[in-house]
Amino acid sequence: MSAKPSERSKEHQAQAPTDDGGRYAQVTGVAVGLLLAAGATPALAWEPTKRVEIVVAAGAGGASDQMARMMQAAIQKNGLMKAPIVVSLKGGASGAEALMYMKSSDGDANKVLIGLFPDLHAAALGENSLQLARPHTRGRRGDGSVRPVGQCGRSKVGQGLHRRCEGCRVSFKMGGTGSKREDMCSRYSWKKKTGAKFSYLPYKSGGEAATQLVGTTRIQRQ
Amino acid sequence: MFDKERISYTTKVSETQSWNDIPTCKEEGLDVQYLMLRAMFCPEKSARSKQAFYVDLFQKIAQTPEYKEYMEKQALKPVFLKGRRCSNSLKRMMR
Repeated sequence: MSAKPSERSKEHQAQAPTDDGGRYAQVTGVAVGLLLAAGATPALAWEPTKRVEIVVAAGAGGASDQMARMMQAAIQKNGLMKAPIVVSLKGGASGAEALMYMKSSDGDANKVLIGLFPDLHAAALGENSLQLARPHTRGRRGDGSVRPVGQCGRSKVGQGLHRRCEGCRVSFKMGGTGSKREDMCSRYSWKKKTGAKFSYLPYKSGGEAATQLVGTTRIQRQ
Repeated sequence: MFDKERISYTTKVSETQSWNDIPTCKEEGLDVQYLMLRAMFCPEKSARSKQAFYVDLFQKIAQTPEYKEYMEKQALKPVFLKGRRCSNSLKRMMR
């Protein structure tokens, strides 16, 4: 709800992401007017006629943001949709800002939320006072705040740290954007399996984490 | 690699190795798995026909070269789920 006034300022009208060189700059200039080939979709199928907003439940430059922009570019370059498409960042309160925004947009099919599932789940659980139930996958229809329409990919993370922490007296510094969420889960499972210790540096987005952590990774012997 | 299996990408990303050369945690003696899923959601109470448009749209996006390049560059597991399979996957993660 509080998200509304700042909405406009946070939108990115087909801009190239600042942290990703000019890779998307070339494609964002392509006209959106490539019409769908006749017969590509059934004649009566609904499609949006006004601007579609991809709502990112994470910070600028993070993985969700990058993926949203990639999809924006893919849609425009391949003429997959006639309506214009924008990306808006609503990463406040660990993604709860985006959930509230979607919750206040019931029935508005011109908005699509993108986010990592554990993050959104954690954000929803952390906002119980706002009556944001868990996403619509358990329980009755209609008791959740959002509804899954599709899913793109499962991420893998390869840090190579595990090899060194076997049986270990080693302390690691871990930095990331998933404080109290996925980073805590993964940290806990490593700790349980190996006894390794971690200290944690929380960052606001993957972009920030990458910038801050590049060149600083090291193993600290106790 | 925090998955049961190695990732499929075999293009070299360093001088000697591809993502496929990175062993799983289990292969290295640490039996942990951790998968995350990035999902797209429509607002509650969206009409089914409108949801269907987005399922179709994201399916088309997943076929584009931009998408495939992104998945490979980010070393993301190229799995696309929709409908019941997607919901079931979410349910498993909430346990």
